[in-house]
Amino acid sequence: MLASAGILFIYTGACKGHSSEVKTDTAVVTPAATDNTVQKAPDTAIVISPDETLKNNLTDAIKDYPGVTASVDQGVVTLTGNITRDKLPRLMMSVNSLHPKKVNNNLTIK
Amino acid sequence: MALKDKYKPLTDAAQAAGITDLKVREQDNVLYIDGTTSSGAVKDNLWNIYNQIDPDFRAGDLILNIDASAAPGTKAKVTTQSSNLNIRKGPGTDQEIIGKAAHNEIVNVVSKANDQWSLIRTDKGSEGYVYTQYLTQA
Repeated sequence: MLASAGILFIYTGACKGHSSEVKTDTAVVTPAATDNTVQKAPDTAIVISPDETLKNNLTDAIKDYPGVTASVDQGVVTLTGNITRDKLPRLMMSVNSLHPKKVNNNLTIK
Repeated sequence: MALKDKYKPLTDAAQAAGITDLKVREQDNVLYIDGTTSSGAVKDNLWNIYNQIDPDFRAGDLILNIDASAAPGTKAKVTTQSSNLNIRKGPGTDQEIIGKAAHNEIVNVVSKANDQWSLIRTDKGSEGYVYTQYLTQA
């Protein structure tokens, strides 16, 4: 029984001819699940988006906040207009994720 | 007060919460805190601490960038305030709306187009780009 099981195992491996590849695939599964995040910047550099990129992304970020206006100057984002306090954190999260140099919150909170 | 001291409760909480790739750097009187978490609750908590230290985020001396968006290959919940989420042909609000995902609907995250936009597929088969801010890891 044992001998035949052993032979069967070897035969299967030889038949596929990919035993090493299969092992590699299996080993890669775990790290791949954690490594597929957006590429990170080097440790030392603080990444500031160009003004043009910031302007485009701000259009998307403030779209759902009527009454809010955003301007950009050399990486510094200035928010003006009106907002309610409950919506402010979500807006700030969104703007902070765009890699600005600084955010001036000049919004009037209603 | 040095910025790192001012925001120490925040960086301490980020460390305690196990934020991945946590970076705390200061440049030109602005502190930059970057990191990643799979928990939307952890991100919300860090923002609450930020709001306590600097009420209504008025000081302009911190950029807090905690990425809690759902990873590609996982499922995400649509966490809009109440409305449906627009699914667009491409990554940008100038792109045509080709479908909607309902508030609280669970969708499949296919890939990330960039920091702001993710490619998703709904269970009904609609596929397109949505604003990542409105997705929370399911």
